[in-house]
Amino acid sequence: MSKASCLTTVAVVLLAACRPAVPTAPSIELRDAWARETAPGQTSGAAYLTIVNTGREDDRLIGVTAPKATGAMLHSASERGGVASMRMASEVAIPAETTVTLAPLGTHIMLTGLAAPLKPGERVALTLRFARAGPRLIEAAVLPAGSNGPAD
Amino acid sequence: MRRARLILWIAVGIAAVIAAALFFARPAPAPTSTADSSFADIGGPFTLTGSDGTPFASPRLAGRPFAIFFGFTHCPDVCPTTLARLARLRKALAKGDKAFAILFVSVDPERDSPAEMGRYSGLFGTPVIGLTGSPAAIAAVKKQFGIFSKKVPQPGGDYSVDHTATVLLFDRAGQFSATIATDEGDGPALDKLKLLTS
Repeated sequence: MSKASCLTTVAVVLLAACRPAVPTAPSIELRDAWARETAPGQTSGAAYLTIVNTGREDDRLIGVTAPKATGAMLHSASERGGVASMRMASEVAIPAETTVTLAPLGTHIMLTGLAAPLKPGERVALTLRFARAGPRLIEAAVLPAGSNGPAD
Repeated sequence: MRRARLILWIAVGIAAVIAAALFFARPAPAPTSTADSSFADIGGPFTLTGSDGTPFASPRLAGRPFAIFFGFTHCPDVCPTTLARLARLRKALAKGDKAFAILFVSVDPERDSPAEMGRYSGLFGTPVIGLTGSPAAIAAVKKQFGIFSKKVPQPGGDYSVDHTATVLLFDRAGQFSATIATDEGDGPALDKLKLLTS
């Protein structure tokens, strides 16, 4: 474990310890986070992951930050009559005992202002903010542009 | 009186039979030529700018089927997902990269330079022809291929582009052959490509 990630882990543990003990706090698990490779000069990218709420309380994903991007926002892609459109989503509901997958052609995390292209094999740190569970860190693996996700 | 009523009822019956016969024997409506001619009208010759900055004229594709998709390089989800899918389908077809060409045309010519189109199109591990052009040239090609696009302002002064995300397939003669919709399964999509390249 690198020094940085060790410190991060310690910080997360301390933060968790400082949080008031709420017996009904939702349990959020983050899995299979990945981002698609981007081209040199391409300033926007997309990241995806699976969010599992194992708790009995509903939660909401209300924001994302990523140090590698000047902006990270929730976006939802939709299609109507063959026309694709992307709109900012203010939040994503993560109902109790439900798995929500942010996947291509649906709701995803849009990264803007990427200083450098995302290269396969790299990792992109993401902090997801939940209304109840608070901030959660996860590292997304950068997969080749031709990939369709970690199960590919 | 009773007899008159009987005759009347018989007449009604006969009329009903005749009406039914006329209805069912009616010739099928002649196929209107509008559908055919509008299909034939999709596509046609065009000249845009290739990723090396030189003109790319469609006759260069002569004899080769192609899949054409319109998008833009600031599109991080729908566009790479669709191009990745076309690359995967071409691999699954197992007839080589030359079986059909994949064309990626910008609907955002103000931001997409030829070099940017080239770098983006080069991401998929298989040849993808990235094309852009002057706004007027792009507008003309969009019209030719029945493509809709519209800039949508985003928070922070940026913009996104709503655009037709359906892939259009053209045969060796440059005739419109079929579409691949975003939500269509890989199975039917592959069948269309098999037919296209048979």
